[in-house]
Amino acid sequence: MGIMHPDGRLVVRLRVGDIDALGELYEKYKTKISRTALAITRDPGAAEDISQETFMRLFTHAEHIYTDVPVGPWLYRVAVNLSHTWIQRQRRRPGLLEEVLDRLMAPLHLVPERMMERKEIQETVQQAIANLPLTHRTVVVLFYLESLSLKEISDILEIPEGTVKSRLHYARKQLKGLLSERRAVPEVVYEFT
Amino acid sequence: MNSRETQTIDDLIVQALQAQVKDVQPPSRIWRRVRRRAMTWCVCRKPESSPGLKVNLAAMFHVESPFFPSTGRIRNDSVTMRMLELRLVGRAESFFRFV
Repeated sequence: MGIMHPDGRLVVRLRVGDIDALGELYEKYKTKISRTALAITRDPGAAEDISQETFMRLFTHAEHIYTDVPVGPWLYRVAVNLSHTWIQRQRRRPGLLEEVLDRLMAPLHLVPERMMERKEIQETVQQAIANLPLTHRTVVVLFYLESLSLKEISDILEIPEGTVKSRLHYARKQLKGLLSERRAVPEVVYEFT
Repeated sequence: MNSRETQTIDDLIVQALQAQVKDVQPPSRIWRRVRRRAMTWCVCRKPESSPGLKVNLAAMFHVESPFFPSTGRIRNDSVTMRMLELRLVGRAESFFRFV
């Protein structure tokens, strides 16, 4: 084992039941974990539960966490897995599929009737992202929202880097197709020229 | 897809995702719940080795009794701690009926 990472020192303290160490790690990672769960599930309530469970698992599984690396990727992995589980459970609930799809398609915040064009485009992109397969949406969230590298995403999701790349490529392609249908891309292309 | 299109798509995705989670701050109740669950887990897992946690947990749950006052020093002996454990796991009421 290499030199202990600062997170690792806190993980060691977790192993003996140090709640303050958990508090330090919570403060450090709470926003990243919450927004990742929210971006994947698009459900604030689910994101809260997933955040809570993620940090609880950090505490109860501290014995099995490496101390020479940051704890962030481990937390992302747990949050992503819990988010996937939550979505799959929602899909399995009979009679609620339409409701879930509607929620996935809906924007998180209501916007005024006369919203700016940019807001409309953002909403279109959010819907397009929500339409992506779950595995692809997860890669998109980790890459674009959390700015994680291909290697980091590969480690978190335990998939080859090539798969991460191909999912990003597929996601971009899908988004371009969906946006083109809505004529969002040409407008924005002009905006950026 | 050329590089300009790719860049545009990339920018759009980043803007859309950031707008989606903009101003999202985890509510403080998440930490309160995590903390309470973690403390309860500690007490249940190692009841014999965490008297300090039990005292804190008792205060958090507003547990009061002649055995473990909310103010002042708590007796750190096995009987008191066992009583506290029982109280904390919600079995104290039934326990007291048989005392």
